[in-house]
Amino acid sequence: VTPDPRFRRLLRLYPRELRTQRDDELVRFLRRQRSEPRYRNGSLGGLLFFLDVGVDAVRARRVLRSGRRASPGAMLADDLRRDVAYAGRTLLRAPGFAVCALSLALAVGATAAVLSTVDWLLHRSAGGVQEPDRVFAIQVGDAERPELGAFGLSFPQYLALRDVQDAFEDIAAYAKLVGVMSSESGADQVVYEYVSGSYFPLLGLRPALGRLLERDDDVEGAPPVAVLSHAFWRSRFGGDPAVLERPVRLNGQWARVIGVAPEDFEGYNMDWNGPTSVWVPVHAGPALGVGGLPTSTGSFFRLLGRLRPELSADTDLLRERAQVWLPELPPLTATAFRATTLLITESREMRIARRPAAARFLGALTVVSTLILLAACFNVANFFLGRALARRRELAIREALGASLPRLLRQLGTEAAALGIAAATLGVAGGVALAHLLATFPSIYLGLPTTAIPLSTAGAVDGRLVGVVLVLCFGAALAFGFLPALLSFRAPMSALKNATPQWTWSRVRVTPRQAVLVLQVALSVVLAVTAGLYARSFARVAGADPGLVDPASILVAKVLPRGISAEDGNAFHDALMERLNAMPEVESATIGMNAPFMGGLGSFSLPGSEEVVRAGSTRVGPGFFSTEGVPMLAGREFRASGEDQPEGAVINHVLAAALWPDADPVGRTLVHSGVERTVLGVAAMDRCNNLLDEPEPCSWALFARGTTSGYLRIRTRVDPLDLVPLLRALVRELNPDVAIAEETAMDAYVARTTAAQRGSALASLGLALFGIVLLAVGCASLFLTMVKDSVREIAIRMALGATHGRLSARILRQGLVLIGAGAVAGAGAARMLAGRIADHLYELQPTDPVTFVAAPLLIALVGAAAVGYAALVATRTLPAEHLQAE
Amino acid sequence: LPVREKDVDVHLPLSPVKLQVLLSLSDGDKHGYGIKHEVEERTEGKVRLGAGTLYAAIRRLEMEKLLEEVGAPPGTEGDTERWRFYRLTAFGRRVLFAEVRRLEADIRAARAKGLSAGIEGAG
Repeated sequence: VTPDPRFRRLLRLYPRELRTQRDDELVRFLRRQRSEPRYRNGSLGGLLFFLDVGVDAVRARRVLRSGRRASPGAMLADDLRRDVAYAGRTLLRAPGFAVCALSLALAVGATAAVLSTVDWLLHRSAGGVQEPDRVFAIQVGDAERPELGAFGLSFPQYLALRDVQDAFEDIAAYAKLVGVMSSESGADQVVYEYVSGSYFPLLGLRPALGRLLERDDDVEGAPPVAVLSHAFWRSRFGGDPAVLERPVRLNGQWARVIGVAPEDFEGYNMDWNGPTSVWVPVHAGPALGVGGLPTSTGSFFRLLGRLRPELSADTDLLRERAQVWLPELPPLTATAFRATTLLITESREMRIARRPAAARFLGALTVVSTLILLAACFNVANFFLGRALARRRELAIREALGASLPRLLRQLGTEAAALGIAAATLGVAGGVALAHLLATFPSIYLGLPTTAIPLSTAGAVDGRLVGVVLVLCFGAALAFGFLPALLSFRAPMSALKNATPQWTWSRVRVTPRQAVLVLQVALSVVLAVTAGLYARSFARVAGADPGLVDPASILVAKVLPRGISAEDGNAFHDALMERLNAMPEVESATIGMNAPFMGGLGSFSLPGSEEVVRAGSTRVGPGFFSTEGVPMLAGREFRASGEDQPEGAVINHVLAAALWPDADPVGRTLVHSGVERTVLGVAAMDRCNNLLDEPEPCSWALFARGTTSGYLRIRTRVDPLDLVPLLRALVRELNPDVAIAEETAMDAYVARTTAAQRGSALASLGLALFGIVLLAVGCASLFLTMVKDSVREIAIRMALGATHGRLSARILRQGLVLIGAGAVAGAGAARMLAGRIADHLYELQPTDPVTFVAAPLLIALVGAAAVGYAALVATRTLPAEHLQAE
Repeated sequence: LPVREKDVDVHLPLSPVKLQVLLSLSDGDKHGYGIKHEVEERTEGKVRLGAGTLYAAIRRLEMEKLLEEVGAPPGTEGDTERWRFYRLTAFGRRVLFAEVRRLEADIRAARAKGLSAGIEGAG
């Protein structure tokens, strides 16, 4: 059926409103009408028809004007709604649309969730703080040794700084500690903070219940009062407002609860212990068993200040200004580092202590989710190009007949918008769910103890996430759906001649679909290489050997003696070890000051030598090495408390080799932070601070007992977790105010320590595999349609006697050239990207040859399989169908 | 959303063209030319709808939510000409009924005054 241009011209008689809406329909109608019997009578019939149409056009105007006149805005909205609904109906029937929309939604959801979590954890300050940009953290550091990091100040220093500084309205001090909250039901570890009276007023927080601490609460001799965090109030007291009248037992002392902090405030700074549960005034320290807190010259406190309103929030200027204050402050207790500079840090930098670890984890996720998003975008491009080419002829005819460019734009745009709407709807739901998931398990990437109260996710999911999803969905639909389709219309006449449009670039001519295919293959290779690098890097992490014998039968549990005297503490520790070692379920029990592989660092040297070796340093009890299953290479380990010299030391073979390369260290003297110690033995332990590093130098001193908290290691004859109730009962019997916390089997503990690496490995691998599958599907369908496009040529060749084999070879050759080009381009791009993710890789070069050979090969194989499949389909079935169709 | 009487009454009386279009759709979905054809057949050629008049009416009725565009009915997928099909909305049906009731009342009144089809110019 050839459309008659005469009918088009007739349309000009009709009102514009009808023409823009129904041009095709009107032409169809007129053509049908023209063939009615009454107009058949030659030129007279033609004249009659023309007259009728003229009258009709006038009547149409009257009908349109009849009734209430709708506003132009309402008419436009009505048109748009109908267009979207129509596009939705036709798209829903289009094969591949569901896959296209779903993959875009998933990719956008994942990207938005990751970006939103990055924003929440890394770019925002603690929740509920008024004007957080004007609050700065104040610490001290050693300008000559910046690698040591930042240190706190003492309370006397805080008081002095408050008077001498001239940049802040007010400054506040806080010290985060781990204490014990006990009740009839048992004693639990609690993360609490000693804060100066200025802390809450400075942050500008509003209480969720009661009141917050004020300046008058923090004076000498004031009774101990406490503010609870919202999450702690909910989990421990069931959100009961009556908590305000009830005293709580903190560190074995009574304190009165005066209020509850706002819901999203979890402490100004979140350290490795997790969110803060309780705040008490600094001057309550003596009453709560931390006697010297207000007068100690140790660096217990972190400081924060609110900038004076007339100053601009310029961190560099502020740092410069701050340096003159430092000499006015009283000195800290002698430590290994010298405080030579005041460090001023922006609020958001302080939100989480393990910022680098979290940034690494989230960085890996960002890279992979961005690649996935690109993969989904190529699918969108693929889908729209397919649709555009299939309708090329139809639309080209329309354009030739005078359908305006805006009309075509609107049609394509509406379809792209419909995709955007579909993807955004799903994407918001998926993104919110994923963001909640990421926020709920901070233990994985913040390394918080699993017993820590979960972070409040209140701030994690907000309007920004929805905004990101909307921008990404519509951006992708527009850039990858609308634009390429539009570009392929540039030569409508070629479509009429049944030719494929081509983009000419220099002397190389490619069809849009060939270009998309090459890009898709390249992107697959980038994804595969990235996933491969992560997978190989994290396989090394998972394979790390802590060097322990049968870790599954060791129970690790934290013990916190609080609110008792040093003598009572000694007695408690001795009784605990004695009773534990006597239990039939226990093979042997010991204690270490730090959690496994979480010790501190110390400086070691030979007497009289200036040469210093930095080594891991912690304290352990008698029987530590035998309980952990570590043999002694020379000498012995610590004997039972009281019998052994406290200035003895056990070192590992790495430190021994560093200090005495050629001699037996046992019985020799080393200097540790100014204290001379005699080496008692050499342990065959490779690591003490980090599970994942090369063997490191380590040193152990005798555990000091008293009120020191520590981590029990108990080798059991039963399932370690079965011992927990017995252990708790025993501790409760010895002292009801001592808490047991963080109980876990050693193998689970080791697994958790590497959870961040394994977690991000799994997440990025999973996402990358998803992306690769997406691309493989895309490649196959793309090539299949490319073959279909040239089906006429294939049919002719076959009619001329080409064999299946030769045709298949020809198609394969064409496909492999494209795939090869894509693979090479992808490997090049991956090489550039790999340099950027080098920081996320553990003991793996970003140029890892295995990955760079295997990944492109894998993609090329998948691509070749797709092409092979297309070739098979093309030569076996398509010509027959084609001939039938002709 | 419940439809109130006054929502219906706003549309009364229906213009002759609108009434014909709604009547035509009252027994099944049709495309534009189908409506024209049915109306012409039913009125024995007395009412002829041109393309412009018809689509202008359809556009107004659509904006007033008395009819809506629907997908092509089964069996017409293979047609080379893809017509747009229209259907009476539930609200459109209420308006049509109201219009018919109104016309019936007028006809009853006319009969009561001795006027009826077949008796022309009597009295």
